[in-house]
Amino acid sequence: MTEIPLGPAVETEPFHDDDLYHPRSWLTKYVFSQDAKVIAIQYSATALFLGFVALALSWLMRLQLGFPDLVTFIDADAYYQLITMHGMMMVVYVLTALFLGGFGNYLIPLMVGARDMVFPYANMLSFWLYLVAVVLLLSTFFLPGGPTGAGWTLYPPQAILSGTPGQEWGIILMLLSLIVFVIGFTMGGLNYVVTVLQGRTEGMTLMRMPLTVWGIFTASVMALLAFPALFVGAVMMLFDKLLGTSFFMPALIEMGEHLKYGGGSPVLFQHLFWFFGHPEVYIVALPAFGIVSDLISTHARRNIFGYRMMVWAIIAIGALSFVVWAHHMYVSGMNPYFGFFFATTTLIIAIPTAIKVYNWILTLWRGDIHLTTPMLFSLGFIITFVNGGLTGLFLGNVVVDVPLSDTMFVVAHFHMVMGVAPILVIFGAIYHWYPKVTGRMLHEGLGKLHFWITFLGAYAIFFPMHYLGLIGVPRRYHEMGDATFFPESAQSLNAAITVMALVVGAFQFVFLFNLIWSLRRGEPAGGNPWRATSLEWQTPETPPPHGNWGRTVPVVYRWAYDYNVPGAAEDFIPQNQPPAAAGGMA
Amino acid sequence: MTVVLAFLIVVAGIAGVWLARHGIMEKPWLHVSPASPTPGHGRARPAGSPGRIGLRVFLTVVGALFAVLLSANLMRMEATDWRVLPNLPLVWVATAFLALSSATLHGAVLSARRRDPDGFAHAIAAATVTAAAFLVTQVLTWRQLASAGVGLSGNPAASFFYLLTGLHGLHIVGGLAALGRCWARWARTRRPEAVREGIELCAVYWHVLLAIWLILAAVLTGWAGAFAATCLSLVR
Repeated sequence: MTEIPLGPAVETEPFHDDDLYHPRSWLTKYVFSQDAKVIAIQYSATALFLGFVALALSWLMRLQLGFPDLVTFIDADAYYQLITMHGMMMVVYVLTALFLGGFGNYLIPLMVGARDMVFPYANMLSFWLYLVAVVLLLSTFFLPGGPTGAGWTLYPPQAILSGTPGQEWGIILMLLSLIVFVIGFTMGGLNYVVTVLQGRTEGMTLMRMPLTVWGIFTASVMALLAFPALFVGAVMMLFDKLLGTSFFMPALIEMGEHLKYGGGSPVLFQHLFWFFGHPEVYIVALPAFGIVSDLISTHARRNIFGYRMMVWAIIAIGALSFVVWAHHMYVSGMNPYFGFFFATTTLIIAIPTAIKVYNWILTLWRGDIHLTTPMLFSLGFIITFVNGGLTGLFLGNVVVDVPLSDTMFVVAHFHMVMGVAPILVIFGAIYHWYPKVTGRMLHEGLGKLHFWITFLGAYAIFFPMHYLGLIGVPRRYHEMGDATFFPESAQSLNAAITVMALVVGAFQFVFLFNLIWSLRRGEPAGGNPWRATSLEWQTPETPPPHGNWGRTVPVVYRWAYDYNVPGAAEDFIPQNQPPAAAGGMA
Repeated sequence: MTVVLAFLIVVAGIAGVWLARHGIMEKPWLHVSPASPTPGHGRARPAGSPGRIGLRVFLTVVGALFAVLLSANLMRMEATDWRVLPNLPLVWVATAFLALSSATLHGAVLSARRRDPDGFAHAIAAATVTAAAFLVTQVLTWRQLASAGVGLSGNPAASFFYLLTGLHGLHIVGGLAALGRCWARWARTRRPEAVREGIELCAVYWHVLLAIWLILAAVLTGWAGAFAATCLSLVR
């Protein structure tokens, strides 16, 4: 391989930068660390652990649905608790934390050529508050009454009434946990945004940033603007529960007695929740969009097609996602004209999203596609996202949504578009950046096995679920009972889905094994095993040391997608390679 | 949700202008910078320190928080159990204290720029005392409301009053903590210029919290509603 000359000399002697935090003990280096890379690993490890907890919960749910008499301790209350905790964990504490806290912390400083985040202390606090939120959430399993069973949307009034499981401590700690999570995220989000705005190295203009950074940056801005709605909703519901206010609680009679509440508006909570909840979909999706763009470009050895349009589409999706929230509320009894408005905005958001899909396909077109594990996961993502997106068009229309609302069709839709699709990207990204984080490759054979079982298995689980929804199988029911309006084969399908869920879940432990095994036994990766152009692959050492860049930070001369440039000595030109050394037309 | 949507439209407008000025229309594949040391094509970073930019971003989040709360307040007002709060003159006393605090903090900034240690010390002390007086007045307002039989529960207008003023008060407490750090640094160095950036950031924070307070006070006391009704009657 030809040695590629890089830009300014990067010396690896210890540097002394007074502006940069320097750990002085083992505790401040590995536990209460202010280094974004350590914080990223802390976030990722915690979120992955929680992901496996959520997986176990989903197994129990599926066992109940597929084989109702098999697990005796899952009654209706336990089932509600399982779905609530699974949903909330996955959406907020796993996906958001992994994409922003994990990938954001690791990749933003490295990709923009910074030494660290701009506010390292607040960044450290962000993780520890996240951990407190996780502990609060998990503690509900061990308290009287158990976790809340209000559903992940926590709709009042039922969320705080005595008929709902977890009414004693579960709902209180869930709300407290969400409040702490939002405060913690705000500290992290400020870091991600301001580091992109202020921490970029010389030459790294906005339009030279990799799309991964654009995705995480835009998602962070959205989260900073959307999470206050969740915060407000949680605080107000906590007031209703503990202090007897009636923000959301209407007049109610329970067990023959008038409750102290009156006049509150449950629909107000729905507005607040979905004002956070719908942007949340894109808070998860936009980092996935950005990451998958970089993975496809790198592993197909092609510059990303329509970079500018990709950036604009990310921004447009981010902006539009704030005006579609009430498409989750078509059956809430709101004014029908609102439904028309929100159906229209929902369809409009499909345009920038479709632009991204076309551009991914056109990037692949006539590319030198390497079917590596990250590429397989990326391809799996595109297909899954298109599938999930198409059913989203169904549900975005009021007349189709109303009969399908609260059926398994909705469950299948959001799992495809917001569960499976981003998780495929997370896996692809871990296979892609693990060599940079650890210096070793993940086992490729195990990775491909993991991909095929996960990808095909996910389709075996969620494709039939659409059919169940179409024939009217409701969601949130712990058993179907003696319902006669759907055939017996529906239960057989439920059983088959359960078997596949168990298999797919079990194979995630193969991934976990690969992560741990490869730490010591994986093939040494070198600094840039994928021959990629972006800055994180150009660090003087792998894994990157504290301060990332040795004595001098890199200078950027070009965008992040110079692959197969005509006349260039290699099929990639790193961003920090000066023009004279690169050759070619670029 | 009209208030928060209006707020987001303003934020989107500012972000759009900023992006347009920072090369969002560039075609990066056409531009390779000449070899070092020339910086890359286009404007690289916004002017200002990370602290200043960070504060602006944080204040945007604070703005979003109160915009959501005001939206919720307006939506909840439509219910039949909403009753107007009794007259609360102490709210305007608190407003005066906060305005004084904001003004004296601005004076501290000017003193720091002039490198006038005496003026700086007096101004920062006055800002701290008036901010504390604002918080005390707010607690007295709560007590006045409670003694009039208007508790946290019962009247949703009162619930919103306690919640909104409480959250605003917590933000002032956070600001006082930041001001305390400036105090500590000032005590160590006795040089106003050493705390100039910190005090400037505190002043910006105070001005924005004052603006938010004015909106809250107008809405919570019903003054904004009466003003809007008067305007509507004039139009009709």
